[in-house]
Amino acid sequence: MKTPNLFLKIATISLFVFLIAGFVAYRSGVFGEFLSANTIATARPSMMSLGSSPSDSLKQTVKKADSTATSKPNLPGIPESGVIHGMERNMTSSKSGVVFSTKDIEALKKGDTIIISGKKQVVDSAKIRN
Amino acid sequence: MDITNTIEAAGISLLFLVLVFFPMEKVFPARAEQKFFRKHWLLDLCFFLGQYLLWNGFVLWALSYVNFWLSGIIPHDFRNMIASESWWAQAIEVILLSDFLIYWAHRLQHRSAFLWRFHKVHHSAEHLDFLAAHREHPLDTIYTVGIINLPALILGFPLEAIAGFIAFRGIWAIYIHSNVRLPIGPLRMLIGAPELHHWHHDVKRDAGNYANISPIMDIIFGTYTCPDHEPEAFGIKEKLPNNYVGQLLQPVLPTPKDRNVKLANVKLKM
Ligand SMILES: [Zn+2]
Repeated sequence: MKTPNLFLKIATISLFVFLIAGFVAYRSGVFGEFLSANTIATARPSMMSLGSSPSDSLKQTVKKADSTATSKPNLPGIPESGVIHGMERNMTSSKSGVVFSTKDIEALKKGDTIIISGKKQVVDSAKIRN
Repeated sequence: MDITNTIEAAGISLLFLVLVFFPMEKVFPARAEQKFFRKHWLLDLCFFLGQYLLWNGFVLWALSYVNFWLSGIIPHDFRNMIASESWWAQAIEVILLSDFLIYWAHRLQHRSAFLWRFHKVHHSAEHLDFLAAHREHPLDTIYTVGIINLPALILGFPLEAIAGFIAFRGIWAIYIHSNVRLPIGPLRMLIGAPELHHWHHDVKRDAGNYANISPIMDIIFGTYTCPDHEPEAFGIKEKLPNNYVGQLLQPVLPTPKDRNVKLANVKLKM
């Protein structure tokens, strides 16, 4: 290839910057949504697939309580996780099924619905510990 | 898992990467003679597809497990203390800590014979481009992904708050492997550049530039190197099979040397 002219160089850099910026903006939304739902994240390129990804299998475990009747349970071996109804925040539960977290736990009220391992459960305030 | 969605995502991602990096590699090539379909491009495509179709789920599963395990042992008071800090303080802590950890973890990958077994797969690429960036043993990926996310998991920092930063870091990690030479001046000290990372892939091992993206840690710890030309050759001196399955298996199988050692032990016992 001959030495590219200035116009081509500027056009290429502009396209590159535009696409990278677009990608970052797009991923901030989609990726951010996934992260907030799963509380796990990665900075590796492998995790940056566009649109849906294998991570969707994990995402399926994180749904609003209303839709859990038909939703898939956690994948075998995947740690238990729960979602506070209406808040869509992922929670990690201990083996005994007690939900614990830092901030969101404070917002839990008796009678709230959460999902643990795909099972809908009603919060019993006595079980909550901070 | 919806396999159609997964395949679609891999296809769209590949298309996007070609759109981003093909023009750059043509207009600003580091090695002008390197073709788009260069030697072993198919092998790197296998690694790309393997990552998207097979290993991503496995890596996320491992990460979820670490997260689950950590949430059981990190005192809540500690996480509450961190959560009470300002958002900016938390974000800076997480970013700096992961940069620091991944820098030393990467140096260890080059130092420890055990970790090098896996990391050498990534370094075995003799041609660097955006596709070669994906050549990585899945266990090497778990190691890197685990370490890079460890600070956020320990501190309980919601990574969605810095999703834009993470997305940028992800695509930049591919860019620094691309066959591009576009000197960006002092900016490379902050965000890194292919001209730096290419030296990390120099066939003469341990040239430096271990930092993940930003070379700040390399500058601090004296491993920053920025010659004004490209390395003569990339790759490793060790022999590695040139096929996907072989590259996945070789690190987990005992080397002939290991077998000899075991044989010697047996003989001694007798
Ligand atoms: Zn390396």
